[in-house]
Amino acid sequence: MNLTSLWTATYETLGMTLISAFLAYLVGVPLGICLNITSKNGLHPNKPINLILGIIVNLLRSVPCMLLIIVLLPLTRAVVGRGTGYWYTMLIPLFFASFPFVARMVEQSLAEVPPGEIEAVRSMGASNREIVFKVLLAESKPSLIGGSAVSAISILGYTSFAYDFGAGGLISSAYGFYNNHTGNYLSYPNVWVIILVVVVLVQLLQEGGLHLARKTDKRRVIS
Amino acid sequence: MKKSKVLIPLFALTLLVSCAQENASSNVVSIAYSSYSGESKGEISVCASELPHAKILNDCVARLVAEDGYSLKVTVLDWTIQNDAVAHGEYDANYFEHVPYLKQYSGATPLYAACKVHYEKLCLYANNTNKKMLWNGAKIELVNDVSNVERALQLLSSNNILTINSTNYDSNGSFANFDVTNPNGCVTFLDAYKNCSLTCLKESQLCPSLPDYDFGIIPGNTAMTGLGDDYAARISFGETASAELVSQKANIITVTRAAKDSEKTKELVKACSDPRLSQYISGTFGESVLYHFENGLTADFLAA
Repeated sequence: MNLTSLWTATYETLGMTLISAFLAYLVGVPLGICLNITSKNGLHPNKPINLILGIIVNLLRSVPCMLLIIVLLPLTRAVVGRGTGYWYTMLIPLFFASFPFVARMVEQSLAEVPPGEIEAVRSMGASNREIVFKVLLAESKPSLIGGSAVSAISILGYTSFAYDFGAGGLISSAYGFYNNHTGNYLSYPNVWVIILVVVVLVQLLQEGGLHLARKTDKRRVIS
Repeated sequence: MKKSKVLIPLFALTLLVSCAQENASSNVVSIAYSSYSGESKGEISVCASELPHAKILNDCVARLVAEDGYSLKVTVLDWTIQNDAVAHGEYDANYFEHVPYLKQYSGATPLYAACKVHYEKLCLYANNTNKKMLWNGAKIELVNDVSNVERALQLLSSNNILTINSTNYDSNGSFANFDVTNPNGCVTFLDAYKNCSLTCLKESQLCPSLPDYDFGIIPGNTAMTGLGDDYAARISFGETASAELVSQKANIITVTRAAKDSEKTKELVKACSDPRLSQYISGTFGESVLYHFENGLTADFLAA
């Protein structure tokens, strides 16, 4: 292992994690909002829609990531032109594995907004649309940002499946090293360095998320 | 931000240490390669299993094709999707399987065995080098992919340890009904070994798990890298590498049938026929991997 391959593996991992997290949020946030407002105590209760969306989310969340990758191989091939060998071939399966999770995280964050606050704004004549954007999303921003760090970290964990599909990344590179030196892999620095880089990345995501969340939290009076 | 003040220097330090210790591996075979000074002829992409396949490609074949102006890109993939990946045109070739396995491939795009390259010897390895004789009651681990289980069981059966139940074979005589989760139900141990037991594990887990069992039936390449320098001292008994077995179980370069006569395929076959590859394989893997070249462009292995 040299610095170049460590850097390649790092950007492959970051590429897989951050881009699929971004794609997952593009779909997950609207889906989470829909789940929240159509729920029984939501702004616009709608049992059938809530049920159908809930079933889709639960179904996708139940399929293990490894199976999802195999099932989605034809779709991946159709969209990106190939199914294995490059980090970007993992984006579609990782997106499908994470957007339902993200939707639930978003739904949960929105549910934390006190109902009294919504009632107060509604009594002032705000429309549902205004409540969603100006109250629900605005008030839950710290929680949403904190949740996005948690989501990104769990997607980073999913990138370990990239090994079997030649998609690279830090975890694959550690596992490949282990496969080549199964007898004495722990006496080399390689696996330890990779673990350290992963720990640093996770810490950066976690601390960065918390920091942003704290910064955007208007609820705190005394800091 | 106290954490980062500790973590970043620590990280940098570890990087330096790791780079300093880079490539201190042994087993370096010195082989002379000539250089190429013309226009690049392009890239040959090959997907392969980690060991010994990707290592052979990266360490030797890449340099052989470079002499003719090609570059070689090797991608390690799980073996279960390699045929599919080549059939979909994602790679020019794959390198992981033997002819019997390729014959089972049922995808829409026909594949072709371009050449045979090497044979991996299968042996029974003992956890304790002082107790290498298999005893009644010993626990034995073996691979869990069905295409290789039969071969592992045949090793035991040819050494009069067990017989393979006929229920494992379907009406066409192929070894299709074996249950990797219940290997002991699929074999009958001879009386002298009736308390022995079998457990099927993923190939990459065989070496780290050997201390949990008494014996392991481990492919030569995995054992050599996984059991350390005294791997040869652990061999209880191994396959007799008859000419017929070596040819039958030799690992092949597979391409699509349409690419059979392409320049890239010819170049790969040419590199694999180079005597320096034989030198590299015997120098790196010793007895555990045997070089065995047969040209598939002049004889269709799948037809036989």
